[in-house]
Amino acid sequence: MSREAILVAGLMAAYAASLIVWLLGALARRERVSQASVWIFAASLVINTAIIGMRWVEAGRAPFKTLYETLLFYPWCVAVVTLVLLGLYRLRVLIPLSAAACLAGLAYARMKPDVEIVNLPPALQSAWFVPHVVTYFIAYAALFTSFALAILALVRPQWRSQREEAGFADYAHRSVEFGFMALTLGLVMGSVWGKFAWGDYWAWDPKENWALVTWLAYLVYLHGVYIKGWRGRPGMVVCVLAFVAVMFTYLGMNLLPSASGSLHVYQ
Amino acid sequence: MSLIAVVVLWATLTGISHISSLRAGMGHLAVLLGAAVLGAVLSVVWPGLHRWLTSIPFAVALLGAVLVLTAFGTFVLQGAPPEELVKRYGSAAAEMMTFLSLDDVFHSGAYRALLGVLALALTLVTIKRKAWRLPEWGFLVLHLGVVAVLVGGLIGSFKGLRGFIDIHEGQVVDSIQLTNRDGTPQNEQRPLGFGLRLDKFEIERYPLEYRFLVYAAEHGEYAVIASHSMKDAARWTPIGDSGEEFRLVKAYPDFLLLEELRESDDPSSGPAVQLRVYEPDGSSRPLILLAAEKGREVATLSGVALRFVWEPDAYKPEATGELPERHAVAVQGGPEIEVAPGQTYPLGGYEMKVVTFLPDFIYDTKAREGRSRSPVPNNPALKVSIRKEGGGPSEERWLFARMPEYSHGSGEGPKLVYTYQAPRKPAERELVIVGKTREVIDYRRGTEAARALLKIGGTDEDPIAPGVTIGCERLLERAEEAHVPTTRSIEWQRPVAEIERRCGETVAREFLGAGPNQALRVGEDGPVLVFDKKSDDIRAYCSRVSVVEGEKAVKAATIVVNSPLEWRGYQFYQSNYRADDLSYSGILVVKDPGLPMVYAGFVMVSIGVIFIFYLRPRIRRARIAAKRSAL
Repeated sequence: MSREAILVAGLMAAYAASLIVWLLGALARRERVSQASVWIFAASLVINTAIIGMRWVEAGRAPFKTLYETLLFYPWCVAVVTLVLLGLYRLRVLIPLSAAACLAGLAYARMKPDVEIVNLPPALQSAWFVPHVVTYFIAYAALFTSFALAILALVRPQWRSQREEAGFADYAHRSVEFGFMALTLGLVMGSVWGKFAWGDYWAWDPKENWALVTWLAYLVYLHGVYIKGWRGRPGMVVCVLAFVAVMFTYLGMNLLPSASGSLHVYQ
Repeated sequence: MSLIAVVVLWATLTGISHISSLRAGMGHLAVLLGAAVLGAVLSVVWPGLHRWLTSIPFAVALLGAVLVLTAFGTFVLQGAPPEELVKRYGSAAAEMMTFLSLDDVFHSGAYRALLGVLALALTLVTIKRKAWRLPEWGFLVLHLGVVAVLVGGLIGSFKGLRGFIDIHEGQVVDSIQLTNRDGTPQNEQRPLGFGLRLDKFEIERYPLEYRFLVYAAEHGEYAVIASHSMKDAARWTPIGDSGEEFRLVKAYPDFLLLEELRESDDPSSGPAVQLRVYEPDGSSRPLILLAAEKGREVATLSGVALRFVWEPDAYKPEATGELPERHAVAVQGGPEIEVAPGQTYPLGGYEMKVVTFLPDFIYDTKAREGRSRSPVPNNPALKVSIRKEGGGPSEERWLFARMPEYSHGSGEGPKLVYTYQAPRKPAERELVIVGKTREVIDYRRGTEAARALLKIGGTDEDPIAPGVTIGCERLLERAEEAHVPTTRSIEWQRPVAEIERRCGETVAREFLGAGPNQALRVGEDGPVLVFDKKSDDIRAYCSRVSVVEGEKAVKAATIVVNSPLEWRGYQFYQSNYRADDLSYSGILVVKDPGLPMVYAGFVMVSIGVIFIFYLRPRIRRARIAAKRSAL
């Protein structure tokens, strides 16, 4: 096993540990144990950062080129967003869900490792590469937390935070707001980049179309909450479904018949 | 309710675009303008419609409809020929899809019209909310930003153009071949009003890197399962799951197997000298002469014969005379007789006819006969036909001067020995190296002209031909030849990896040349090890161009991917190259008058989302928190 593979295995163990420790804390109703899960989660983020940093140095470029590389970066974004939400709203219940998402991403990464570090092709050599990808993955991460919170809202609609009297649905909404902002900025950046790289700011490429579908799905949610009766359950269901669109946009492009010639599909 | 209405709306728009039967170009504009005017007029005279168009449920339904159509456009093959659709989805479904324009959603009138309705609704809702008031500025910027993008896109699709330039170095092109969106050429050339000259096309590459790739068969197809850098492969590395391992001992960028002499313990080995020949171009090569091995004791360099003997009197060149070609045959142990092709000779109770002579015999397996590969006497062979004196069956056989053991035919006749003497002209000059006395004797036309002591390690200052000198590197009484792998240069001209393979306890050393043709296969269907250079090595395609107006070059620029040239409203993109014609460059040309509007829309949308979805909620929550603490 390469050094990176060992570190990724270690990272998975760390995220798994935070998940298990959180469960133990919840079962035993021990505040300190629950708090420990947060520290383990934070330590996982440090390892995750180190892996990405090492690969960045080794590749001599931002490691966001291949599916495998983004599958190392996505957990990092999820962890960052989760810790920010923890800092803002004390939503410790996100730890097990985020840790599980990180584990899923890393497990997939281990199934599809790169055989070698690939060079950056001409189309990706752009100042837009890093901001576009980072903005999008931050958006995906924030939308993941909205998804997780929406599920919590569907399971525990009555729960209210002590500080703000806000329920999971409110926090899911806030996550969507932030995620949608990042999603829009990422879309705009991608569009401008596309203009510089290919001459078109929009080419009806399947990945672009699904980025649009995702964007429209969250627009449906953001407008839908103004319809009477959509607040609460139906809104949360839309929130969950919209995240399915996010995941399809990220990982599902290989399944599309129209994507064979796309420049966006991860090989 | 709204959802149904939007579906009906889409169906109506599809119908309209079918009635107008113009699926491209101005037809869309007609549909869009018609829908917009109709909508605007209707919404004024019919307040209910206006209310509905600006309602949230309508917005949600419209967004949902665009969403569903967009998703459809990715699941259904787009822009495919009808027969492909029929093959994939069946004829009924294909017909349905074509009728509903689902096979080309994004360019269909209905889809565009829905986007038009979206723009209309956004405009109406902005007016309805009186969004120009200060507290509504975020709403205004965001919604009108989307309208600006849509309108800019519309302008671009009607007033913009796309084209292509095929250009070679030195060529000036002043018009573009117009193309459709998918890149297929239209039947129109559009003059640019200026010229574009390709001064130079260059491909930049990443640093060359050779790696070890392990291929394994999966479902009958070989795919790369591992890739190891030379640095990593210095450690024992598994070759797939074969159980074998390899490691790189040394990599030779420009491989050469060097011949070298070594001291030998073997009493049967003979004397040898290792010379080095320096050519006029500065290169040098080794030359090994073996005194005891026939044919290898002499070499000819630029007409000068170099000969190596051990004993001082072992060789004296003939002062005069050419040696003619000579064939001689003897019954084994008997006297030799000289023969010539075409003649018949009595030979110890037999009659022998010499049929033919081949100087460089090989057996042609296709023609099933012997032929000569070259006129050089590398493998002299004589075809003879023998029979008993006074009659009887004749037997044909080949006699080989160099390979006497192959000379005997299957018949019962006598064993024949063939000796061949190649024709020889006396050398103008002959240098004889005498090993024992370490002397070099210079013979001119067979007569000793000079004699000198052999310098080991140095170079002979006296050139044997213009620019060609030789030096003696090693002289040994008992020598053996060794092959030493080496590299001629540090350029990766002929890369070879010297590797060790380990299977259990056994370790074998091998040379693995670069490239897939020299792959090392482990077992029958096992993994394959390939030493090859990294293939994704193109860093950039650069077209160095000049803009030519009149006769003058007014601007020089380098077009690379992600960095187009902009000139007079046209953008020029690096788009194509030809591996077999490196003076060619393919340039995509785009003109889009809607672009400033689209970019303005992007800026508005960006500012709008940051304000509405990030800043405003924080401000609100901060206010609420302040109120709370005030209470």
